[in-house]
Amino acid sequence: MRVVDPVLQELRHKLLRMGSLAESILEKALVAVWKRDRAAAREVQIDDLEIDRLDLSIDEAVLRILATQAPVADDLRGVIAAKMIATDLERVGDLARNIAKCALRLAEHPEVTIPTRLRTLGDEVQRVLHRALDSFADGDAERAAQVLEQDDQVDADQDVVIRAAIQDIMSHPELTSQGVDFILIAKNLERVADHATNVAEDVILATQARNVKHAAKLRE
Amino acid sequence: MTDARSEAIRKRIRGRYRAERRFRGYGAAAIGAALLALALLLGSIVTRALPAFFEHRVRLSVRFDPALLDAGERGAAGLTQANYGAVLKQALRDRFPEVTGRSELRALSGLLSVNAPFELRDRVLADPALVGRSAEVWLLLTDQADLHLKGAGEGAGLSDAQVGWLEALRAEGRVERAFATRFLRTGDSREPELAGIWGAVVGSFWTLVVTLALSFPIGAAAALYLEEFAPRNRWTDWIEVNINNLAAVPSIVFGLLGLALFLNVFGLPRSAPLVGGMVLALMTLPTVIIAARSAVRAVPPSVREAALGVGASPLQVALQHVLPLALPGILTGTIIGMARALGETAPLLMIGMVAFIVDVPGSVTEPATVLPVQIFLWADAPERAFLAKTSAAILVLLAFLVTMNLAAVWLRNRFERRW
Amino acid sequence: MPAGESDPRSGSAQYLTKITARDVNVFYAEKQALFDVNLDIVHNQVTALIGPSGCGKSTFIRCVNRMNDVVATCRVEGKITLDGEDIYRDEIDVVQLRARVGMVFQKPNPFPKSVYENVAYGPRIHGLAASRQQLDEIVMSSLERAGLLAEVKDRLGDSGTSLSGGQQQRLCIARAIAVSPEVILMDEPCSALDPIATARIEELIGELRSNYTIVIVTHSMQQAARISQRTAFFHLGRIVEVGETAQIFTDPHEPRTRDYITGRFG
Repeated sequence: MRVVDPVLQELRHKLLRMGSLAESILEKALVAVWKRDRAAAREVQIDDLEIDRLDLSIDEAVLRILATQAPVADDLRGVIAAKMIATDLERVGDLARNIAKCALRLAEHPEVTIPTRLRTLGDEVQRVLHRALDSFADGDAERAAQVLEQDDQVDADQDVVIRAAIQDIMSHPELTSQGVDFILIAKNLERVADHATNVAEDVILATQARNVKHAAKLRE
Repeated sequence: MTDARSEAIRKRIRGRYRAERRFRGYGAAAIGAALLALALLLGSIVTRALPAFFEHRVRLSVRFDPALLDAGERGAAGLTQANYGAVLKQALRDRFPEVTGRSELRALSGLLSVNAPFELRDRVLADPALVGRSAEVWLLLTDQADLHLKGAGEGAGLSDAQVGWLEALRAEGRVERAFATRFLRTGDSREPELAGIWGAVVGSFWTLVVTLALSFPIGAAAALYLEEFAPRNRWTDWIEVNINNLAAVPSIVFGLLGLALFLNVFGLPRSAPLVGGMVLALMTLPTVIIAARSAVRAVPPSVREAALGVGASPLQVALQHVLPLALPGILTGTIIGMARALGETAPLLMIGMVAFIVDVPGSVTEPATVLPVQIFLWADAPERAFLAKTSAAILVLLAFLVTMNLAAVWLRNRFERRW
Repeated sequence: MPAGESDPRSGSAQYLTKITARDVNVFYAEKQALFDVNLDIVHNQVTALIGPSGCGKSTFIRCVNRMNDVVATCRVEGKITLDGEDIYRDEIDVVQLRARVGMVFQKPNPFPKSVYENVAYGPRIHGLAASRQQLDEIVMSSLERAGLLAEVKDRLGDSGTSLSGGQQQRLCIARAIAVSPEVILMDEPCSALDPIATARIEELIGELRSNYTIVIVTHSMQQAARISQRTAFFHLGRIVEVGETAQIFTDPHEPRTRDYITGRFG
């Protein structure tokens, strides 16, 4: 057992906890939307603080490990990836908070029809996030690669949702406020998927020493 | 912590301190005993040697009668051959006119050293104007008279008449005691009052010079070769075993070797410091080599590596780096060997340095004797006066030894400081 | 691993190989210390040799300047070349070789002479100075390049052993530089020094790199990572992996290399 192992284990635990918090905060925010649950929406604010605290704690842990343990090779890649994943998960928390704000606004309306496609998008993004976090938990680069492939689909689905919402706004102007919230929720969901993709890229860097970030953009 | 336990601890501590004090006491007592023995030994030698450093002289009025001298021409040759014995006898008759018979006169002259006529001659040669005049001359007394004056009584061997004349001279204040520098300046002699240690000192010196000149370089070079260059195989192991054994061989064996080889085969001069030095060098070489080897071995390998790393050849490493660092140790071994060689008698007896040598040797090929042999010869001599001289010679030998050791310490310090 | 990777720093893929080792096997009596070692040392770069104790790193560099010649039981097979010439050829003058390939040892070992004499000894025995003035110049510039001149310029007559540990090691480096070597071999040069002295020597190695090819054996992986451009990992007398230092320490190819540098065995 090396001196650095318990420290790395602790870091990993923190990240796993942050990951499950991110998943649950997203779930809660979406439930607040689907069920127009104001209480759930307000809980999301509090849960986000917990994620932020974990992020700070991970910042500190990473600095300490780099300074005192001078990790190399896979340890080093793992620690750097941990910091990057924490940042992405913290953003997921912020995005969930945005969705919760939309939920609060939607809940003010007496009656709201949630577009089915939005729900589908929500489920899809939750699955993407879950798969990304699973690939981190298992160190499974192949599953991470699958996450990367799904990102395009999510983008496309989000496009469809937004276009439909715009159509609805144009045909029913009195539903503009709702429509805008639907658009915002879709955008935030797409951003969550982006961050999940980042997590997958970090997992590939940590396990395979390959940096696949910005691959699509760089290819062009 | 109960009282009983702490009391037990205190008792143990007291016991420990007591044991320590006892041990220190034993050590001090041992040193004290050694010092006492040393003081007794030295004291006995010094008290026995002291008389040898003093001689007695008598002042006589001498008339340098030219007729008695019978010098012929006044030139230096004539004065050298002149009959100073006659002048001396006349001076004695002048002082003791009652002495008439030939045997009586012989007894009277017997109070003076056989050297006395030559002392007169030296006075005249120094100042030829003395011829035809009188002078007061200090003349050396014979060893028996000297012994009597030093308080030997019956043991001096003088007849009653001689004692009477001597006492008469002493009563007149014509007898004086002086420091015998001739003991330290002249060579050996049959007459005890004339015998000196200088010949043996110079002989020892030349012998040791030869020994040093041979054993130091050969020993140091052999040690360097064996440690730095020689391969490690059965031959070198065998050589090492033999060197160690040779160090324990009785020294007289080397004397036999010297006799057989140096004298009989090479035909080198007998009794010469050259041969003596060569024999002693053979004897001390094993000691020097063993000490030098361990000094060379004690040089840390890092010094050699550093020198090799900079591109020094093995020879440069050995001479410019290892040798200077090993030098103090080699010197120590050499001085130990020299000190042993200084006191060796047996091997030198074998090569003939036991002869009676009067002249102080001027080079390594002239016959010589060494201090221990001289001591041996004098210890064996029948004349009583040689007793004191033997002890005095031992003192000189010890002084020689101490000087050598001091020189060694000084040399060692000088080399150690520099590096 | 023969040289063939391109140096991403320079534009071209060609760079000079100063020393090559091909199929080098080294034996101490019956015991084999190095097995089939193949290694290229690149000109004007620092190559670090890392590996656990007793893995053959020191044995290897001592073959490069033939210091193993003084060990009677040591036998070297294979080919080691310096600038293309086999250094174990019969015609090679070992003394000259050691002037071209200098060595700095683990424990600083200045000669028990003055500082000046320590540095002047090498040039003197190799006849590198025609006059006392030239010798002075060589001594001064060597001390300067070793970063020691400022500290000893008033003490050139003092004994080399009166300096501090770090200064002594820099003196040994100056001594090695004074004979104008092409290669400097360093066998754990900082292991007997405190961190500040170590940092100074590492800085010095960085400066020396532009003029000398340096091979350094080190137990400290951080040191190897900090100062070398290429690293070779030795284990049990074999080279397990050789490559660019940054790559070895971020993504080593061999699992044994990874296990060693992450401390999973030592």
